[in-house]
Amino acid sequence: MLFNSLEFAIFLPIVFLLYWFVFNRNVKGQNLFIVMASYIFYGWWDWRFLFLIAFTSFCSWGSGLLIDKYRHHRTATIIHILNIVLNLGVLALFKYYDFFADSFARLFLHGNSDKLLLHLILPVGISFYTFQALSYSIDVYRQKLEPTRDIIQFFAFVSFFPQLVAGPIERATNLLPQFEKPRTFDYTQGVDGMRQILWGLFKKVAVADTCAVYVDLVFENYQYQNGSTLIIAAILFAIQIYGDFSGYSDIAIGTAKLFGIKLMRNFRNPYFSRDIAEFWRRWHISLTTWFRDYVYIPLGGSRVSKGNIIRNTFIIFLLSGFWHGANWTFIAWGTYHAFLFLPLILTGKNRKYLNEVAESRLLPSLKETGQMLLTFILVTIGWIIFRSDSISQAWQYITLIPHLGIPYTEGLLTNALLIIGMFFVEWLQRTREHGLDLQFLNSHILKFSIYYIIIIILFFVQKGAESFIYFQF
Amino acid sequence: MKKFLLRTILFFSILYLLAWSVDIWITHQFKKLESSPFGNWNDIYSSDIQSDVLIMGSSRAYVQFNPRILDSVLHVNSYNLGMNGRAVESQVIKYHTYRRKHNAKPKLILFEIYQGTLDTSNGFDRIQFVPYLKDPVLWNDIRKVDDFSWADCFIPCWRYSHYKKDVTDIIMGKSVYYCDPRYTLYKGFCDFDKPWDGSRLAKIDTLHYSRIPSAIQELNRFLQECKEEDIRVVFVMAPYYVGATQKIDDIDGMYNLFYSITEPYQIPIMDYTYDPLSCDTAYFYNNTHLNRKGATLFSLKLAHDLDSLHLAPGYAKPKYVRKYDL
Repeated sequence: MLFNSLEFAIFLPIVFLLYWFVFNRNVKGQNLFIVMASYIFYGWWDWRFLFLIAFTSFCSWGSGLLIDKYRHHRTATIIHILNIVLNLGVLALFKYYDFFADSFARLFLHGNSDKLLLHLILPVGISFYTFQALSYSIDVYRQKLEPTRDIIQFFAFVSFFPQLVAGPIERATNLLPQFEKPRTFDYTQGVDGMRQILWGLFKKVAVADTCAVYVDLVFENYQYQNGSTLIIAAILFAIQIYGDFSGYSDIAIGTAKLFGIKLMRNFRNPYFSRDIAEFWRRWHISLTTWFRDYVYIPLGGSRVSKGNIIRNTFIIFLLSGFWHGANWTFIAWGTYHAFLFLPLILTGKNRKYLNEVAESRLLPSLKETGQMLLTFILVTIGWIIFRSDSISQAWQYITLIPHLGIPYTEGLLTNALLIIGMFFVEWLQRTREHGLDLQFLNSHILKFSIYYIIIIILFFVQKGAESFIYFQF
Repeated sequence: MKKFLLRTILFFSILYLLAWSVDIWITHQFKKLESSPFGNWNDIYSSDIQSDVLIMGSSRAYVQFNPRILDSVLHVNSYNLGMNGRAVESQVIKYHTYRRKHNAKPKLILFEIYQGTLDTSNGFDRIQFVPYLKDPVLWNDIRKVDDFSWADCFIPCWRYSHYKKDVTDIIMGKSVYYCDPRYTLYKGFCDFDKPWDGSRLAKIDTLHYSRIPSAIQELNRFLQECKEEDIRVVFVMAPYYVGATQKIDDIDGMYNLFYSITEPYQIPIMDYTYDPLSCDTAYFYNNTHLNRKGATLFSLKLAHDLDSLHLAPGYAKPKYVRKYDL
């Protein structure tokens, strides 16, 4: 079920009303209802994979209990490792098996991979919920979290439908305790959730989906385009993937607020970053911090020798690339970002920009504008690699860019207006949680007018329920 | 929670009212159209077609069967329900809407058939149904053919949201196909006058006749219904450019299929496939459709044949019962 579909528009109010008016008597009832609703939400796509998510959840929950039971024995470590292997094994089977089999066949079997490939369907959101479940068992093993004995509570944590298929990848330390406590409806939080949903829909439907038309057309026929068109398509893809993914996150966080649940922030205006390090603190925060906490820091982080810093940086970026999918383009994308990040970390400048850009000023300085522009260009080059079907396609695309000419501009005016609108609002609202955080406005008429204008724009630009890019990961 | 629910309801009520008003306004603009195909549907929904002869079929009925000529020769009141790019399922839905909207029960139906009659409609010219989707019966019928969702019927403006460009062009009178006064209908007939263009034919290697089981079933149901209501049905194979006819694969199979369908109902087939008109591109604008000159001559010929065979309304019994092939 897509957030931008009619099915969800019916599903959400029904679940909301039942949650607050029928299942509100006790926490267990509410959690059980969350699990039921989430499984319907997920099963709408393909019910067979409900068994997989239930299996993953059960294994992580069980391992949490066993780790706690055998806390001071070697058994705890064995169970912990088994659970990690099991979770990553399931992920590897569905997501990476064909990739490795194909690569193996190319190397040793002259490309004859027919008998090796399984052609399994990739379950939607498998990377997201696997990482979420893993975070729980790792935290229990590290004694940062008490294991929960309530299986329903744990299933609700893993399958909570707003963030089930594309994040944010929640930590058990943040989300699980919220399922332990009774929830009460908060008017301000509820209204803010609705606004955030609307803003997420704007980013997804009005910005990302309209950019997608141009981007798909150009990337599918890049050989025949001149450099100017290729540059525009690359910029539009950078904006599309931001609108698509951050739009999804906004809808997820907004929806969770309606149920009295606070999810972590996943994006903080990444295209207003002044260097790559700042970009990575603002882009897909839940995944970046996951890798930081569970991979980078255990490897020693940056408090090791320079050689090990380089090793750790490459590991984390390669993993991050590989997490996105089984394709060499994602690995190349991760490597590219590692190379951009390394100079900053080696010179100790990776935490230079921790504040908001142009803080307490309306406009950025010339220097800040230049920094943001440069960062955006560097990130956009990375997106060309990310969007391409193969490394050779990415390379050809980039090498064609210098052949400038008159660009293809069909439909670009609407795109430009919507993109400018989005970034204008996000710039003004950059210190707030999301673009439509309008709690400071007192006039109801003004607020209602803004909502209606956005809805009218959505009506005029929508092209049907388009899927989200990050569902494939 | 009460405050939240009340405000949410208020917000969506205003939104609904706004969308509802816009929907009514757009629909009103469509209902003013007299050109194709909305002119046709508008006539049906205005419930004042008092025809004793109905013409049904695809675009080959729509641009080839001229009611003005049929009326003057046969002294009847005819109306053309032909549908561009549509096969039998959509044609029968249109007929049912015609009847349901209290238009006159016909005495004779001229049912145009060709190798594409028993095909699926493939969503061609789907927009023609959009202004009328608030009619739940039409919506329920046509959604099975054209994949309309419940929202198209129940959520204001939703149905128009898929056709923003067409809707804007139509409202502003910019759409050539839908708004050009040259294509204003006369009793559902569209008088197309274009020169011969053989480019489409040149691309065709072989033409296959359709035999979709659901379409055959639908046609049988329709014929049974007509029989029960004592409505005379005549199948008409209008002229088809001979260069295209030669490319039809297994044409005997097509004839046998139509014979087997008509046999139980004793329905005559008037076949103009090999009529002299079919041999000259001067009468066609493409391999499938006659131009104005061709349509005029064909309609005249058809009217006289109907009269001579006593198939027109007014004759109690046709001259022949079976094997009417001309």
